[in-house]
Amino acid sequence: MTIKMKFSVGKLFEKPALIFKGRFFLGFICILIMEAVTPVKAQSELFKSLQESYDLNVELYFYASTLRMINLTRDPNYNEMVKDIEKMIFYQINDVPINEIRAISKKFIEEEEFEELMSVEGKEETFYVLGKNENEFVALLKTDKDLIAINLKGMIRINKIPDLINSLNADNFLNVFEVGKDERREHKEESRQN
Amino acid sequence: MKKIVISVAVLLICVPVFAQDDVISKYFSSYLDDENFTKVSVTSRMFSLFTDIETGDEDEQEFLEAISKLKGLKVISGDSIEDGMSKYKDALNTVNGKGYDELMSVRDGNQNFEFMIKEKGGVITELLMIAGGKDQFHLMTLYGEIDLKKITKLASKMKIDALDHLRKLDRDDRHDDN
Repeated sequence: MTIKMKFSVGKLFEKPALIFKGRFFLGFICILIMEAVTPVKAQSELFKSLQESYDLNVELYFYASTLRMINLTRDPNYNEMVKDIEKMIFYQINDVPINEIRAISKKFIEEEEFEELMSVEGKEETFYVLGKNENEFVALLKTDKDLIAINLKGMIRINKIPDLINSLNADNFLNVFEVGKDERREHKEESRQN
Repeated sequence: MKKIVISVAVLLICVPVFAQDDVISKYFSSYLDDENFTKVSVTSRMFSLFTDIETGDEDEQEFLEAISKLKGLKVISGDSIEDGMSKYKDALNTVNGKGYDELMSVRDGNQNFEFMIKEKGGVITELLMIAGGKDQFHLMTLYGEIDLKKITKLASKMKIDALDHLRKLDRDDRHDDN
């Protein structure tokens, strides 16, 4: 375990209500790391190709089980919201120009029969939400520094997506952005060397 | 599945009443590459995803029903631009005589708001808002089957502040009822 990971876990132990769950944390973390380095099958090829075309900062793979695991306080509303999600891939990609993001969005429509559900293009924020067959979604979100790309397979109550994104950052959920960060970097470097 | 796709295609061809006006489409296209403006587009596909959602909350259910009848939303918005007022006047001239009925005009500080609707067979099929000020210009079109009484609730959920002005309609309506 690296120092960074201990810090993340330690932060969670600061909450008394969560201490009794501490024994399970290592299990959670191991599973999350295993998931993080195991590519999901049968999902958008174009989405997967992003990891070859760009330098990924963060690369996370979630399944129904792992999505439930990060819900440390076992919020029933959250579990209800994610119960029909089969898989979710999350990439954080180093700076990508806006015109490239627009081009990526078009590629999903032209090459993989996705339909545009929503788009916002502006100085402060740019994002695209695309859907296919009512059970696959791609979201491309440009932040100040990075591009967040999400590929979701399964069903989610569409009006609850903002709640899901907020949940991933909330204190009562495991900070998946920190967990296994160093391991993922090492794995990536190993892959590059090979 | 094939049958469903064909049925949907036929429906789309046979129900042009909800299609967005061509003039407005062209107007939006002309701003597409202008980086001074934020462009928002929500498609009918997105709204249709709200159709099958069921919730125990009566208020939320009402909101979801209203939203599932919409066919599209487009917004162009610029708040630090030059000639906002001339863009506002130009937009008003463009839609003039294109079948829109004036619903409400608001003068709020340095900004002018114009709300217009298109109606077919007693159903509001489009709500158009044009707003302009010295350095601001906003154009919004919401199309589909629109229930004006629910539109303010919808606007607050969708965080479209400018549509707050439509609350005045709600108050006037209640006044008339009394």
